[in-house]
Amino acid sequence: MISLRGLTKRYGDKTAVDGLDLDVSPGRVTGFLGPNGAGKSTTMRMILGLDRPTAGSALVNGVPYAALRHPLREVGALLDARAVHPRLTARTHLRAVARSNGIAVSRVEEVLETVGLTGVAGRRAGSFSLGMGQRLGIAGALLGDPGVLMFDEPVNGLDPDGVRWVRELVRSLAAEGRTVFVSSHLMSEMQETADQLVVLGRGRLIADAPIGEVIAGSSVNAVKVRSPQASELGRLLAASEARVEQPSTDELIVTGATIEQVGRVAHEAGALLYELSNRSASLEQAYMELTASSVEYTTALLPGGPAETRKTRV
Amino acid sequence: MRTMTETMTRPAARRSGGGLAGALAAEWTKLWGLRSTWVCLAATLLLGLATSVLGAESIQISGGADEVDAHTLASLAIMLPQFILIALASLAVTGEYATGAIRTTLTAVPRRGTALAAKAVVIGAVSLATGVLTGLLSLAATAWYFGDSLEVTAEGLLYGLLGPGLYLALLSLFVLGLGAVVRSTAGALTGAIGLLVGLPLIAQIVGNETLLRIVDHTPNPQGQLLTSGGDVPHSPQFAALLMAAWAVAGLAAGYAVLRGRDA
Repeated sequence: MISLRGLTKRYGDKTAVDGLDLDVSPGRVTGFLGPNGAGKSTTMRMILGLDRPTAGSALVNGVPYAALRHPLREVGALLDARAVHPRLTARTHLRAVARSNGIAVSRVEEVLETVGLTGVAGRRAGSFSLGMGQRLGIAGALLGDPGVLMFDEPVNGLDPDGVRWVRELVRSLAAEGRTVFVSSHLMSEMQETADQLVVLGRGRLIADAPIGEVIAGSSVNAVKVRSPQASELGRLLAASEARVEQPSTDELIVTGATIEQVGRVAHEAGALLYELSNRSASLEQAYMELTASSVEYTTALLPGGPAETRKTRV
Repeated sequence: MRTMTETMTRPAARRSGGGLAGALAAEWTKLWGLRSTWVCLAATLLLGLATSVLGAESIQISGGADEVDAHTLASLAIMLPQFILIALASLAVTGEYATGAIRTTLTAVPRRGTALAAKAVVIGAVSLATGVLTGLLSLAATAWYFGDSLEVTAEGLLYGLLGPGLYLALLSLFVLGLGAVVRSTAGALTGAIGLLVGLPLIAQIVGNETLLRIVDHTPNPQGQLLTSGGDVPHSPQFAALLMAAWAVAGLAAGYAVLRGRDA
């Protein structure tokens, strides 16, 4: 369980993280999204006590990270794969980390096997590819068998096999009841991995909702209609507060109305339909909309706007 | 690759450990896991022995001496090794900043005081041992050259063995702290060498009385006093105090920066 209360970080007059209130709950994968510079990494660094908040607090299992006697047994983090001395072998690096938290050294071989680095454990970390470095970072996060895991861009540099492996790992960690907090730029990846979505824009919380809700709230969700009476149908639908686009003479894209409502209007008008289908948004589209509005409205969340209605408290 | 459930549901850890003891074990593991440590220490001992041999040769060429104290060459023996050991001490901190490994260190040991103390104890102990060994090699060279006229006293052994150990250990701690302040190897070493060599040299050239008095209190002269047992400009005991003050000041500054600034 990670709890952020009014978490704020300012660098001079630039505010990187602005009054963040957030609970990341166990038993599910929480995806952490936001444009570059939105404050994702800064937030993660403050949770780990690497950066000091200007205001507010970040608690892990109810206490500040630095107050944990064996932090790695409670929180495992992959912040960036290059946080390893390049001249240490993978095995020595992990042994040092294990010893620092009183973790049995035998555990090192276990995590090396888990991430598939057993064969190269004697090689220097500096000789590793980005993907191998990423796996080593994940091994370090798993070392203490922690209940809370944070991964910053875990699939960075991994091949498709590795991406799938991380996806399964992240899902299985959450299924075991752990708190899993993952940031990523790959929306398609997030769509398949995350249960809950936290979106940050300019240091502020834009959305904190189940992934299904985020996608459902996108205006890109639309009903597609093909009909020889498209224009007439379009006028009727527009009158009922739906937004209608007509890309071609016999085609309509309707937003703001359900497929049932469109079907009823068509039926009552006696219109002939060739096609009536739902066109659902991808996470990427929903995300683009959310973050675009965060840039547009810089001061506050729109009352009753997407973020406000979608925010769910846990 | 095993499945996660298989490996993750096992109890992973002993219930104790961690804290300062864990941090010490981690620093110890990292230090000896780096080849640069072994190279630095071998070079330290080799240079200490080589300069001692050169010193002994020069004494012999100039006609030798009737009585040679066991610690005669100790002051000479630490001159070059000190520069290698300060590099080692600096790298323990600045090397981690350069590579990003500091984030791993501070995530594993989030208390800045504990993290710095662990580095200080490990570097201090290794420098102390290396200093004593350097003194021992110097003494061995002295005995080899002047076996017949060698005079061994308890005091001579103290200055010849403990002197180099104490001086190099405290100097290393000062530089370790300096490294935590400036976070750059080049910066820490430039600062340290400036203090050890640059400032005394400038004072000599300028000949300014105040500046010379200040230089009397910088680390380099203390090293000479601690290894020779001389009492100009002050006693070896006071020299030891001054060195301890440098070490404490360096570490305190390092701690303040480590605590106050983001990693």
